[in-house]
Amino acid sequence: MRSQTIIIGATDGFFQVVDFPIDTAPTITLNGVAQTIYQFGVDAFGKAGWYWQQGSNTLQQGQQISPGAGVTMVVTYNALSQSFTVDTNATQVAARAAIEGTTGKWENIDQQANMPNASVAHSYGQGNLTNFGVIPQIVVFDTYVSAFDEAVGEYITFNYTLNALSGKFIITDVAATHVPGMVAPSPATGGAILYTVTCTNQMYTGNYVQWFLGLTTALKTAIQAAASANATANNSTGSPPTTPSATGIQSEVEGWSIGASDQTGAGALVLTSSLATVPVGRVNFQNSGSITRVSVSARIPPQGQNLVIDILRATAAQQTGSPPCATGTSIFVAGADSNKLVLPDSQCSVAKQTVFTPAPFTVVGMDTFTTASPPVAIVPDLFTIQAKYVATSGTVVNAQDVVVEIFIQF
Amino acid sequence: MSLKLLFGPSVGAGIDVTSWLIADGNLQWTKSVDQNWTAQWYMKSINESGTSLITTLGGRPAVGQAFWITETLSSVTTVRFSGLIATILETAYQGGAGYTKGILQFQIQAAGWTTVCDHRVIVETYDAGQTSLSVITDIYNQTIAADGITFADVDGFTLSPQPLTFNPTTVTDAFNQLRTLLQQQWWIDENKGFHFKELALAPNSGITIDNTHQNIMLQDGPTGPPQITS
Repeated sequence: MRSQTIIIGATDGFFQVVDFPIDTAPTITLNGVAQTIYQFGVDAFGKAGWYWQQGSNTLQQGQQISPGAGVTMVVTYNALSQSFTVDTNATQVAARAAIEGTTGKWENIDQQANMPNASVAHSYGQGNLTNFGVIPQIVVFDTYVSAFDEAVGEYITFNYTLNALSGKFIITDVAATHVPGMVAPSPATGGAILYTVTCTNQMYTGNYVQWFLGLTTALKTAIQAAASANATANNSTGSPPTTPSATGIQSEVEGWSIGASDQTGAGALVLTSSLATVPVGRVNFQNSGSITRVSVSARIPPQGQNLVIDILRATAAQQTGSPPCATGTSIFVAGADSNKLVLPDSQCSVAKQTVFTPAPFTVVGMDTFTTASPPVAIVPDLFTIQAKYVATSGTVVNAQDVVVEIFIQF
Repeated sequence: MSLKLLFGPSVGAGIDVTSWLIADGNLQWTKSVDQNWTAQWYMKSINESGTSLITTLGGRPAVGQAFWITETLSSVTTVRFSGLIATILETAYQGGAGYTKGILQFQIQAAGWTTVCDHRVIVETYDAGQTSLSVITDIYNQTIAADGITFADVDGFTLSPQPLTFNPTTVTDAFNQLRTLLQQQWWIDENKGFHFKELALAPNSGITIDNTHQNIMLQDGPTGPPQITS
């Protein structure tokens, strides 16, 4: 935590710069009076308070009103002002100390590029401790139980006193050998299958650091493009049709979340949902750019039916109710379902480009909000995603873990 | 227990060649959460009934031949392993005095279905910001889906922070690159199901080994009593 005192100058006093990139929400006083703090990209712009942005040195008064020349501004904030972070697993240090009679510290250094702030660096460190902070156990044993043969990649539970084994162990390898019978050696009639099972309590948690880096980088990109992004989750529920239906438009289900990633400068908003059923959701965002690509993918593809995705853009007049009603004009060329985003029967993913009307489909611009005085009231775009099944033939199976992505070029 | 070895494009359309197996403990297979699944066995050209394997198959066992190993327990048949034959070492034993026929022995090495990925190629560039599910499913759809591999269990909500370029790359190498990036594992199972998993999210097998069920682990197997490395 550091504190910096700034004497407001005669010009552009509503815009101030501190020495280091701000990591977490700062506190600000003007002549000792605490100020309200808002965050770019999270809070609507234009409020009577000071806006900060993670990873940025700048602070801005939301109404672009200077506190006045000579006013003392004190900013207290966290900043990534050193090039390393330290993370510790205290439990394991204590355990090592008890065993070794030393400090118990096993220290190591890991260098990574592109750590945007201390939070990511700490997450990376904690992730490494989770993955590698415990000396793993690898258990190998023989068995005649065939259930292990079908359980590669699954975990078993140990609660075995003799070897002091407890907890989850993931089966990583199974080796099987046919042991001929004494009387009937043929595999067709006799013998047994002996399995050698290898399992471990090493818990690889996946490379969430990459995920986190991607997410934060993209959000940062979006914010730097003078845009904001947020998602609204709907609380109403619904279930997919159980039989093929040409009109089975589903009601809304909750679970949309928003992520984004593109560190090359082209921002992207990504709608994801981990729901088992096909979700219908909405996302509000204020941004400047054009939709260049939409895609849908499903872990379990629809079977016996096509999944038709439509994306509607609501005008300001249509954005009524709370949450706003699911209406608007399709971004796709009007007409048959084939003009929309269609995940065909038994297919896992599909994408569409340059099929929008007009193409590219331009979303609301926000370039003027930092310079207009008084601030311009912005009506954010509102997009509604609708899904329906259209029967093809045979037994229907609904798609699961459906992800709809909308890519916007800023 | 009843094991069967079938040659054919599917387990239902396979030719039963079990009677030509040499039952000397060489029928083996290994499975792993990395993609390398292997199997091996020895076969002879004439079975106990005097029937020719080559006549039954209409030719010698061939590299690339799809095979299925099934086990029937209590009237329930389970596919234990399947894949493609990778290499065949054929040895001829000439007939002795008074014999008119010799016999052939086939020493067969085989691989699981991931071997299909070794000879499929992907040419594609994926923008940053896509989920790993999108990338993996697209590679799958463009390549091995047509080979009959099904989508079994794929984690997919990791966002790619950088563009991915495969220009061109074998599917095996592409999936291995993603495996490194995502710190996940991938394999294709005995039912041709494609898995791309984060092991920390491994499902429960339902198996518990406790003091009551310790005999699940043999004390006198080839590897001896259970061994724990730490």
